[in-house]
Amino acid sequence: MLTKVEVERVIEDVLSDRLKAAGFLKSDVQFDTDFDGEKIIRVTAHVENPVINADDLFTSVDEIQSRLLKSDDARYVYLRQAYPGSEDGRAMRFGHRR
Amino acid sequence: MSMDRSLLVLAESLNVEAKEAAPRRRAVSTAYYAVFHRLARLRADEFIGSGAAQPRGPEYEKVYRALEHGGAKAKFLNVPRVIDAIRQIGNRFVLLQSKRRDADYRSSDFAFVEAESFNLIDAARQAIDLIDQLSPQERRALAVRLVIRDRVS
Repeated sequence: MLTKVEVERVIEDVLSDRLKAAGFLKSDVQFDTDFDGEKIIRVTAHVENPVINADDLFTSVDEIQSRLLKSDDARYVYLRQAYPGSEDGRAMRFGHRR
Repeated sequence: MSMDRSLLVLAESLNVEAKEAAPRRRAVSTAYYAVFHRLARLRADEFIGSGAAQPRGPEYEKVYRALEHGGAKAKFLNVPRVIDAIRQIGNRFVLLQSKRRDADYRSSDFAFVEAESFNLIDAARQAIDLIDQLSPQERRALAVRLVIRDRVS
């Protein structure tokens, strides 16, 4: 299992590339357990503008996990985004894609 | 329309005009169940058959109904790394299952922010699309994975 520094390096590398268009600023990484006690990695991606297309978020997760697996780290990655106003109700209105 | 797609539409409609926490929480929970039903359907279709006859019979219902939440998660935790598509479905399913717990059981202090609920519903849609796009071999592999009991060594 990778150290926090090693995991942060992978995550930063992936997110700075995949979330470039949203103005990726930084990521907060937290080692945690889920409701079943499984070890997981919680990541908050701080961006300047909301990531509207969730494909960008979840393909980032796929790539992060794929790279962690190469180092035999099989923890799930729970990624969420944070952008100015996202936590206080001033968020822009999203719309579902069909 | 299938149950999974209907639930996805319901999740979107609950979420899109949600001003308060409760409808947004129900939207996230419903999105999770959309994926859960898609997995149940995949399993029953693969093992019993996806014939057009309705109802499909008690065997179909029995296999469909036998999928368990915790069991399904455990199956995804042990997916061989070579099966990328199934791992990607697992990434979204496991995240949604965790968020479904938050949505269904946490106190009234908890709320999803708008971006998160929209992203989670999109994750459900991606998971269902990924399942729909699996090759026949991958569908069979996932169905078997959702049924077999892993050997404990």
